[in-house]
Amino acid sequence: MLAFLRGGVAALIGVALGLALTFTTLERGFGFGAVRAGPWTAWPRVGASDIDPYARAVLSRTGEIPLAAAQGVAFYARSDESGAALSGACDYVVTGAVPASRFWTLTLTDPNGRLVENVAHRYAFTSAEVLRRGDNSFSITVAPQARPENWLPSDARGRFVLVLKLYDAVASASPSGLAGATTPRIMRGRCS
Amino acid sequence: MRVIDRFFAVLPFAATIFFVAGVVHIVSVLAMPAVAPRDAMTRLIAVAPQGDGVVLLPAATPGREIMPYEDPSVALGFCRFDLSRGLYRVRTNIDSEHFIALSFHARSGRVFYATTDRSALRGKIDIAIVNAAQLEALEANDPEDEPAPELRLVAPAATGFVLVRALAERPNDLPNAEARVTSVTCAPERAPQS
Repeated sequence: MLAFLRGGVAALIGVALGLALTFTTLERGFGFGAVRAGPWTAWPRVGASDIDPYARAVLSRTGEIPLAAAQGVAFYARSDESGAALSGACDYVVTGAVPASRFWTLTLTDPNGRLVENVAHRYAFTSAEVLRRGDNSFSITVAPQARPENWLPSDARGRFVLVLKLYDAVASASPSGLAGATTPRIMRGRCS
Repeated sequence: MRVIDRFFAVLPFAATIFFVAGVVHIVSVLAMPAVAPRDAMTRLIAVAPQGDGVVLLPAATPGREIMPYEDPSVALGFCRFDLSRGLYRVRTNIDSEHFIALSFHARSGRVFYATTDRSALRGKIDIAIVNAAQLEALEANDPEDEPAPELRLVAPAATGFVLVRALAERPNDLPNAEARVTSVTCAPERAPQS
């Protein structure tokens, strides 16, 4: 009798532990196959047919439709290049080279991937519309208040995510080509 | 009781916990695509409960997105297929200047094929989504010594969707990008009788 009881308790604890493990792993991004480049992370295999079961579970939970590997790749940044979380209380400058691609877009979202309302109705920049300097370089200022040149508005009250999508990216077919890619820097400026 | 005896006394208990936890974890991860209530296809069906052709999604603005991490510079549309009603044909004409991309997804969102205007042949994309029986019927009807007129994709499941992305390089290009999305034709088609 006692053995049965102990077995039942062990099974219940096991079920709870297993579900907790599933929940925590699925909350932590796509898991395997992450490619890091500076402050940016991409999961190129999420858009391929050999997607792993964890990433598939994450996709079905969030409802996100990934960019297919043959079309491009998405890089996500949740922190600046010093490793501190991106915060609406601070100004950031995004500048530097973007990996070779036909087009790119830089979008600001909240931590759940939703666009952030702002007075300028500016949610993203594309490679075609970003203002460039004489040497073709660009810099985008992410800040809650208006800034000159390329201003990408953030919400002063919360954290945010920067998403860099490369369309028809040269390296997206092979994840190894992405690992050493030169990605834009994300430098923190003043904080209020 | 010595320490070693206690260890052996709790060992079956601990082993049971770890074994059950491992099984539950693996099963719940694998089952997630089947039970998740808000997966991509569910969200898309909520936009257009029925219809065979391409459906344009509302432009991504705060509060009106259908999915997380939508690109506001991209016009999105989708077609859904159900191979039990016949093979499904997706066609569009390409002008080489503008980015348009098609990705083919199983219900869970997993990509099984993708292409962009760069890989279009003779200014056209012409794709037939089929199951094994429909592929056989098509092949039986093919004329000898001629390449197939379209690309044939065997879908991993009977239902799924095709996502169409057209890039608007500037915000005022969005109506043009949306027109490129709606110019894609998707329709079920009866397989040839063999």
